[in-house]
Amino acid sequence: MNINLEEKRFQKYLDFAGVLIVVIEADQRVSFINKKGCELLGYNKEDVIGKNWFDNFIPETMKNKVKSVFDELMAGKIEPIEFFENPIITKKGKERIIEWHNTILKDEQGKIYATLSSGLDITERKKAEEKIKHLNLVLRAIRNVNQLITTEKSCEKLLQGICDNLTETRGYFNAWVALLDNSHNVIMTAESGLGEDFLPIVETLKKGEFTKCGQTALTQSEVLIIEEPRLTCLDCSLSKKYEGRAAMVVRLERGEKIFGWLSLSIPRNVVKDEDEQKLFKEVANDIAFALYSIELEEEREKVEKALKERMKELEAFYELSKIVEEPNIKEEILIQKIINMIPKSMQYPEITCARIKLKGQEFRTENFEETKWVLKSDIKILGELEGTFEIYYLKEKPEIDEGPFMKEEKALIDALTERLGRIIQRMEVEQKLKESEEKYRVAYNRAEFYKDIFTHDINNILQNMKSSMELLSTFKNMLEKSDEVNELTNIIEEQIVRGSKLAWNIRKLSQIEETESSLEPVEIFQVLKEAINFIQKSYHNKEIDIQIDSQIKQGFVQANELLLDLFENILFNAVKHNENPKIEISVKISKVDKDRKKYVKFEFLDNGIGVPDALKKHLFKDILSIKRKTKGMGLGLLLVSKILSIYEGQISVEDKIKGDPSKGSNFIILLSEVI
Amino acid sequence: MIVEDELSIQKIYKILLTSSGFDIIGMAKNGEEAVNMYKSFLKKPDIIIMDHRMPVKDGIEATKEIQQIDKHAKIIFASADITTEKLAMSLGALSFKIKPFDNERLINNIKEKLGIEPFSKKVKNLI
Repeated sequence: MNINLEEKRFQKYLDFAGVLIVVIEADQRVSFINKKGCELLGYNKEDVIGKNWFDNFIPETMKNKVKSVFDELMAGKIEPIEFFENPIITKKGKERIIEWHNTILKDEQGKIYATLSSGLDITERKKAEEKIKHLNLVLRAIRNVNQLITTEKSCEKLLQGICDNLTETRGYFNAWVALLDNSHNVIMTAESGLGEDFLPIVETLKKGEFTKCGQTALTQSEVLIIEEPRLTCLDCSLSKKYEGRAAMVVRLERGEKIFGWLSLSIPRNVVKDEDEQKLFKEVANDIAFALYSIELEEEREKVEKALKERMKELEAFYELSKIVEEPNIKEEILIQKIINMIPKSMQYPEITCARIKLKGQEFRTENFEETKWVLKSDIKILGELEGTFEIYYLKEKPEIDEGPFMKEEKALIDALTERLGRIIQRMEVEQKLKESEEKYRVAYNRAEFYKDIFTHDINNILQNMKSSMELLSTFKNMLEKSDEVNELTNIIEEQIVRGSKLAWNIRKLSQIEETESSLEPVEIFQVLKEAINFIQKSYHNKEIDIQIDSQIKQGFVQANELLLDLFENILFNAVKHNENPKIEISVKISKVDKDRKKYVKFEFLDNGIGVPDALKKHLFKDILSIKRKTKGMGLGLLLVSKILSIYEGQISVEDKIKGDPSKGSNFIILLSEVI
Repeated sequence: MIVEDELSIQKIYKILLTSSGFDIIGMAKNGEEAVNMYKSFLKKPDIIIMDHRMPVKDGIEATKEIQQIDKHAKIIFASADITTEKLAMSLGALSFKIKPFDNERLINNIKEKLGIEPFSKKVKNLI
């Protein structure tokens, strides 16, 4: 009785204890369990007492192991471990983690007959510990992710790095991300922990078919929780990877901009944890911020690049304008300068060469070499294709817009080509204008020159006639002045001849300037004789002896009707500049070879006043180079000179007697012989 | 002294001046001859009739050189080249006769410059 009372009292004490207390007999049956033990298991005491502890209250997976430890304990083979943990299974099938404190019970003979165990339910503590452990892993992952976010500038590397970090720390089983463009097309994916299983998802995403979780996540800002993907995401090829795991999916957003979504595989026991979800959301926000920063940076780089290209373009045009402004720059030099400035306007100046083909001419940079990496633009002048502007890269470079060339470079070469076309067009117009101006300037100077000589000569003629007439009037009744009267009369007659010759020569010079002359074989003797007749008739009051001394009987030269003027003017000068009472002129004719050409040579030797040595030097200089108003070539010799330039003949003057100009002159003319 | 490249005008000057009572002591065909001739004269001419446009050396250049020899040399220009008048006068030419001119005016001008009454019979050396 007392014993029973003591037992009941002891049991009451044990029922008050806050821990599970159980006595397991050697046959594994429960002989005692307290009230707390029954509460934990969810059974009445009667349901537990007498039942095999291991078969009924230990999870199947642990049963054998725990049984074998118990048997060895009962056999005294091992000492009881003071503390150990193992789970029990409740009536509802839930596992509870119990921290056991064991001792063995012996009978009076010292034989072990049971174990007395007190167990503390540490399930919640364990869960908290696991959560802390998991969150630590997650925080480590987040720290790594944040480091990556601050340093990584490549979107691709960033997303891959994030996925790797989230899984490498073992905080998450797998991680994957899909990145969208502004039109919500998937432009990039990254994953870790999925391997080849992810490939089908990539294919479907590229087709624009989003996963159900992705679609949902994109419509909400909060984290999407999928507790049992294995059961709920049957149409997703990844669902099999989620055995016993949950999934968290969140959209990556910053402000209005949605970049895509991030999906994680997570231990199911923490998926509903608010801290976990908050951390996940924060990671997503950080990633979105990083993507936003990269996008901004890319945009900035793009703007900077565009600005640099614009700068290059402006520099090119500035340089072009400087080149164009160079006074009197020739077209060839202008084009070469443009070619030379091209390489530095391109993205790879050191491997750039250029060529301009224009109107059959080629202009190249010094390093020019034709390669397959070329940018071409047509040069048009007044709408007509006149050439090409080509830029070559000497080495292969990555493909951009126009092969390895940027679209800005194409725009630059097109703009330069267009300007070049206009500049050349303008230069050509200017050149034509200059040529026209020069032509008119030459014509004007020539006209002024003729006018000047004509005015001078005509005034001298008038002076001769006027003075002679006045003197004749004075001497008219003075017999003693008969010699002077004769002389003055002769002067007047000569001046009339001279005046008409002057007028004739002016007309001939104009004719030569205005019309093109055609040449033909002309027989020389007939023309020469005609000229001699003219001179003798013109100066009938002068004693003129003109002899022809020819080595040939007949001769033809390349000439025309102007040949007569040529001979007449030479003879006219010989008469005009002669003070002798008897004017003697000898015309020697011979054939000569000069510079592999055959000529007929005419030598007009006279006994006139001669040509001073100083005058000989510039007597036949060209009309434009002659110093105006310095007496040299009169209109007669000017006409001779012009005629000879048409005939491609030659003229020179020598002394009749070498070294003594006062004894007369020798005008030598060479005319091309016609054989 | 006459400096003229045209033979016919030389002849006219000779007839005109001698019949007007002047002696001609020299005739030059161009400026260079004139300068050399002027240098060679022991007795310098009273007046030089100078053409401008002549071969070898023109009238202006010849005037400058003659004036270097004799700064008091009296030169009357007789030229068809009107554009030279200012320059000739600035060099100290006594006058500038533009061809074609009257014989009488030339003679009167010479007399005036030599301080001889017009139509006077007093003879002076010319050139």
